[in-house]
Amino acid sequence: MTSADQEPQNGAASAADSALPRWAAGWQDRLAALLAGRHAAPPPNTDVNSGAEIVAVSPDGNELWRAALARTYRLGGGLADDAPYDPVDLEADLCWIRPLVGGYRPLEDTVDYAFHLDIARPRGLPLHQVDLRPAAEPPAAPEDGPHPEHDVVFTLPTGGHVRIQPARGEQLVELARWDTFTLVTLDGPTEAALELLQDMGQWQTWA
Amino acid sequence: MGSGSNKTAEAFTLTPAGQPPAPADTTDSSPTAAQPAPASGTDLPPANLPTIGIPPIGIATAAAPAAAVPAAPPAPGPTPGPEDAEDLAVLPPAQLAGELDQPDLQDQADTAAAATATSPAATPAASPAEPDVDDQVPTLTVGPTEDLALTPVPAVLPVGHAVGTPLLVGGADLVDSLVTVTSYADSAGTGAHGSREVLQALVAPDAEGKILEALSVSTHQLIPVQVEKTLAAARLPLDTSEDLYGQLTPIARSINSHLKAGTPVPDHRKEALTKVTDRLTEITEDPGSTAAEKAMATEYLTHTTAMAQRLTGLPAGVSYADARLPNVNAHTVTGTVMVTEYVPAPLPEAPEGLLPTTAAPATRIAPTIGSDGTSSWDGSKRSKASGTEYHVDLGDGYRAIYRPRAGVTTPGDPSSAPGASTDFSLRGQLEIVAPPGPGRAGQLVHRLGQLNLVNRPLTAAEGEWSYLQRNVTAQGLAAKPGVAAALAQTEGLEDAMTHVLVAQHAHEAIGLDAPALARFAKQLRLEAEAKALPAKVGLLRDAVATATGHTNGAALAASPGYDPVPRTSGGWLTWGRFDVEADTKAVKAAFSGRGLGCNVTGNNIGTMLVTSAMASTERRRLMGVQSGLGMSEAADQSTGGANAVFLRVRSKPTSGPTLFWSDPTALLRRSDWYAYNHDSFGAVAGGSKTASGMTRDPSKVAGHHGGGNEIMFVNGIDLLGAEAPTEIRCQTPAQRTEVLAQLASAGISSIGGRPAEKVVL
Repeated sequence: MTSADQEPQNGAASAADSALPRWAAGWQDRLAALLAGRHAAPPPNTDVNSGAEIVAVSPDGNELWRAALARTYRLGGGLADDAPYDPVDLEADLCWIRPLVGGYRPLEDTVDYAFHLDIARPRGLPLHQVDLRPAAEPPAAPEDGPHPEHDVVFTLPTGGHVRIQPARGEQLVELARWDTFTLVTLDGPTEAALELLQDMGQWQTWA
Repeated sequence: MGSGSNKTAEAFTLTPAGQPPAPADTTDSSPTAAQPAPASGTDLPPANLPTIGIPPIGIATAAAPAAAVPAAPPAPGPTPGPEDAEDLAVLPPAQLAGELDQPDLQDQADTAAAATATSPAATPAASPAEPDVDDQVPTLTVGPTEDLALTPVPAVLPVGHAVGTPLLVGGADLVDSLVTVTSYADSAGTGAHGSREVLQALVAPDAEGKILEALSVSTHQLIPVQVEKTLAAARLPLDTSEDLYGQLTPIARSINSHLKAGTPVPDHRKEALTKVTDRLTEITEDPGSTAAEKAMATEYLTHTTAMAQRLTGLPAGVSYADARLPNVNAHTVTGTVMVTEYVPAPLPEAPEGLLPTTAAPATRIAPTIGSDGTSSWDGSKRSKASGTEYHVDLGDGYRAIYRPRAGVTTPGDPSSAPGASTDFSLRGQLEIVAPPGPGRAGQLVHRLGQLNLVNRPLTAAEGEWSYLQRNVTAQGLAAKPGVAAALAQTEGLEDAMTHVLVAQHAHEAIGLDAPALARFAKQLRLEAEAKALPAKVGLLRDAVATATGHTNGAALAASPGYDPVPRTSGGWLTWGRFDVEADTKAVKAAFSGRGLGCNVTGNNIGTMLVTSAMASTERRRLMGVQSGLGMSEAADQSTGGANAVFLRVRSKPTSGPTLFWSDPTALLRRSDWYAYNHDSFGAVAGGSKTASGMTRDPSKVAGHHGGGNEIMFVNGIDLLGAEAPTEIRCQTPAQRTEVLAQLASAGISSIGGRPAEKVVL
């Protein structure tokens, strides 16, 4: 599988209808473009070959881990109280994403590659400080989407931050595997359920 | 665990060779005396086990009261039976005594004599097969008794019970002192053996050296062998060689993604579809194609037809959900084929005292689980993993598979080149596989001794030590001055006891060669730990009592909630925390009507319930729910680990599908949970393993309102027993009906002691 095999997705801008502060629109545009692979539009009559990755950075600046990101995000109060997104109370709200960790090759030959969905579960990024910052790593390809060559940076209350940037290398390969897993291996209802980012794992079949 | 250090705690005595037998009521505690008298070679340890002494003369010590020691059981028959398990509680760590003290037992002609020699009455008399050299080595005996074992080894394991049976064994050698013995339903051929029993445990990092000392690892190259293999849902060779399925998947993915985006499918995908369709058509029309190949091509053509119908995009008024291509999986067949496999050449002969071992690419056991929750395994099916594992021949059909934490190189396997590492979650994992058939649990545990691991159940004293340690962690007491001092003093107690014992027994070391001397020194250390254990427990109990507002240790022990006995939860064991147990009302009140819960997506509630547990990814793999590669260290760090399940503090759900615990103390009384009010994304402060914001304090957890709050329970949660959820809310009435039907078909009528109909809503 090569990065050139990746496809565009259209589930990224799930919070577009929310009444957001003006400052928030910028990073959301960039985030949506990165996740959908629209930050570097492919030539016509091709498949998109890009997406986003997350890089976790410790308080002392060391990279802890990085992973590709599934193509949707959601703003909301989480799963705890079924609370809707409240733009006034940003401190309590989260941006939900799905880091693509937990990939594996199943023993059975019916599927080439799958994901432990309990591990690749939605994760909530705090919204108390989100910034667009100049790209920490040089872009792999020219960009023409919103806010090109900028990363979306979420500062964590525990210290450190996470950076969302164009996927590259192994993360692109894993993203292509995820696209195949969700679009080809899983059925439609499961794909749709994953895009809602409401689950916490407990998928059983694909746990 | 156990003693809480990287040393093991045993109860034993040292007796010089040739000493007269101990009184009869104590001699039974001798591991050798208690070991099943072998009647054939089937259950005997191999000849190359290290031997350190003559059959010992046991004198029970504090941890093994003589009065509590059961009589030696009768000799088992040629096939290990349930009685093996009953024997286990009095079996010793192999490196100390018992089986390792026995003479060469592989020669069946000697077995009767050996059995006689190891019987209590015959203890002082050397077996004819005993090596003379052992007469020179002082030996010790280990005398834990079955009635002191916190978790006696069951005589019979439930066949197909996916979560397995947890036991506390191994002192500090095994993480959490936990082994899980599982009896998989035999899925090989006709399943004539009934079951396949396997022990699984995680070896503590400090104990890895003990295992490696027992092994003689082959450095031979791999050699080809022809073996008959049962194909497990494999693709046809034609499919594999031409990668037909591999051509379909990118086209299907492209079509679905463009349908979704409302964009046209690229021309090169259309061309690829035409090409693969033509080839599949050829196969169906080719007289030379086999029936299996034609069936494959026909199935794939149904997919290509569906794809072709979608190349023009979404028809007007049709949604993506309706137009989406259904899932496209590979066409597979099952059958038996002869294949060439490369296996490490066996050692001509392992050095004396070591176990013949070969290094091979790492694998995982690959059981399967049925819709009724029954777990099956054929004894050989395994999935590939990264890194290297050791295959150890324990003799008599028993074999161990160990994945070392330290990197190793497998000859002939490029993936195990220096620097290649074993899956993070697999490092230190040990399996012992029994020969087919039931009743092996006792022997499986017993065989840990051949790997130099402590192989007897934890005693009550060791259990209390473990319980106290867990409460120190759970209640955050380690930093309390009194507790910190007590923990430091416990190490000093062991050292002091070691000095005493050395002074007492130094003369016994005269004349020993270097290996025997090393073993002797280990024995002294172990005895010191054992003798020091009661004092250590008392010291720590007093300190914990003071730190938690009790008058003294005795008052703490007598207080409500203090219960140093583990509970079974699914296929694992949990220890309680006395602060929660002592006042569950207060903890519950702090939650102000909220509880713990999780959403269960993907119509999985019924499937989860029939396996009886919400299990972690790693646990599920052992159950056969899913198999595959393990987590990378980065993934483990970033996700909070594959060894836990995740719940949230939340209000009572009004819609499903959800599991909800209205009484959080049903789970918070465990000592292994930890929680965050937010997701730290692995961004731990200063690289410490304790992430910032992590708490084990129930009152803090009660205040967690963050949408991303998570509370983790190690291994998993028993969904049907004492930890069962208060309510299982389904999404629709139809789902409820389906879930109840699944439960009924699995014979499950109650959940947490309540009728299933009252819980499933």
